[in-house]
Amino acid sequence: MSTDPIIAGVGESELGKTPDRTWIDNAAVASVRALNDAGLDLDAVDGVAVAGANDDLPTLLLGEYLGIDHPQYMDGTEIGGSAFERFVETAARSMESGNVDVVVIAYGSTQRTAGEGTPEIESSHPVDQFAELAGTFTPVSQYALATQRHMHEHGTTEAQLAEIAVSTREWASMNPKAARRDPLTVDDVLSSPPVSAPLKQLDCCLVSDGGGALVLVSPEKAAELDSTNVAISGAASTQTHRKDMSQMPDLTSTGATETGPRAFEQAGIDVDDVDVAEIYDSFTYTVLTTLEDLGFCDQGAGGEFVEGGTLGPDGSLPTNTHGGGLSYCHPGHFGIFLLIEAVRQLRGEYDGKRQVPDATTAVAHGTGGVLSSSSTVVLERRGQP
Amino acid sequence: MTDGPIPVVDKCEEWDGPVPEPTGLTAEFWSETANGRFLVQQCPNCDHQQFYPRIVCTNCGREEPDWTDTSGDGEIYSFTICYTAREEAFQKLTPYVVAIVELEDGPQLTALVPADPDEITIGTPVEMRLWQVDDDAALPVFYPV
Repeated sequence: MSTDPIIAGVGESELGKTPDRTWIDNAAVASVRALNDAGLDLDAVDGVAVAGANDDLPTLLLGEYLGIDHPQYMDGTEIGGSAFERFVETAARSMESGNVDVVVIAYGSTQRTAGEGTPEIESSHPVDQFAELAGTFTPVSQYALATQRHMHEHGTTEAQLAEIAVSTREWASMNPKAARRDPLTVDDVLSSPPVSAPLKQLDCCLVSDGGGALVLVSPEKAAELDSTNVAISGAASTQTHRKDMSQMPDLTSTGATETGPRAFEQAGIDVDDVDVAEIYDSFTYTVLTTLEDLGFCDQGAGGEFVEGGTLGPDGSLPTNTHGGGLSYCHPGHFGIFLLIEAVRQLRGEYDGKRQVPDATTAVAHGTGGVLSSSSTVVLERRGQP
Repeated sequence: MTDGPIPVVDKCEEWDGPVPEPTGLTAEFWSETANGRFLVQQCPNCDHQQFYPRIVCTNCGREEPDWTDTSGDGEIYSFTICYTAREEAFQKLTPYVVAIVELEDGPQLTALVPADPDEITIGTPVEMRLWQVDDDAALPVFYPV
């Protein structure tokens, strides 16, 4: 539809390690680069959204830091790594009211430089008195509990999970910004050190510093700009639990079972129409369960689906074409980078095999918490790249 | 209902991990663990059972649901073997097993399983012990039967 909002600009800060930068520096650099990419100035911005920020009033800080006065849309809702897909949804709704034209959605982090910090029992929340006393401080243990149950119910194997890491690395090998680019085999993944069985080191994402941003504009504003042909045609979000898998309603399926169909229906597409998928990959298992939940294969069939390089450059569903959180970067809340890559693929920005041929429809799916929040965005290229 | 109290094992000397910090209504829950009771909430209005303790029933919204005893018997619903931990107290235990246990007379909970990883699989029957870690609280842990 001509009424859909447009992602007019995307950008990243430096990634990897940024010891001389704060999180807001990284968020701000990414924001300005995304605005430049859109051909817009800071004074055009009338909406800001930020999550995962190391500040108690993050949208106030982002607005002040960038000198954005009197925005009419602000959203700092924290639902983890999927927050940015959700911001696309809420900003799009605000645009429908006619009051907002240019929204900057930003993220910044210095989690690699800062280290993981000292864990503390958060006594303000009753559930933390239980799960964390059991020794599950890290998300990897929570994801491992879900993975183990999936393997039990569906016969999913560790080698099948490893195929996801291998396909993702193939994409990373073509991305000069990716942190890990060396070739990877299934055996490499299987023989990497166990972290929280059945998940091993190479089933787990990177730890990076960095920031990312995108600029969402109304169709009216888009008409004034060049290179504004990536439209948001569907978006949906939900959540299921907090940080303890014993509270997850179904350990082997996520909120994507709801957000996928809702977003696809809004967009008027079927999973078969998706040319490129950017799927949150905090762990290999995150991808496997999300593909099932979105409907790319039957529930429980994710292991078979990813075999044989389905997700890689020669596969039928090109997925995480920048190398994902597993091989490209992962500054904590990865969802912004899924949207950035989806836009670049739909614009046809890449050369050779890195570019998915004739990509016109992409899905970006964010996951937050410990498989706790889900947000699906459908993006469509309008016209030629 | 329980046949008797769940065994309480004194771990005050050796446990250097985190200890419960009761908040509001969890104070009652934790104080009973030291007496060999593992309570879950059961709503007098709708019979819904829930764990962890909350001030309202998540099914019907009734305030302050009643407590009920559990036997502590259950089975492994899922598990992981942790090879690394952020806290030193848990790092010393690596590799250790954490499981989601499905109580036969109650909901699920996540807990430490101080057993050989080779003894654990999904479906393994387990029984609860309460590790007394300070004067007022005992942690639920599960052993294979």
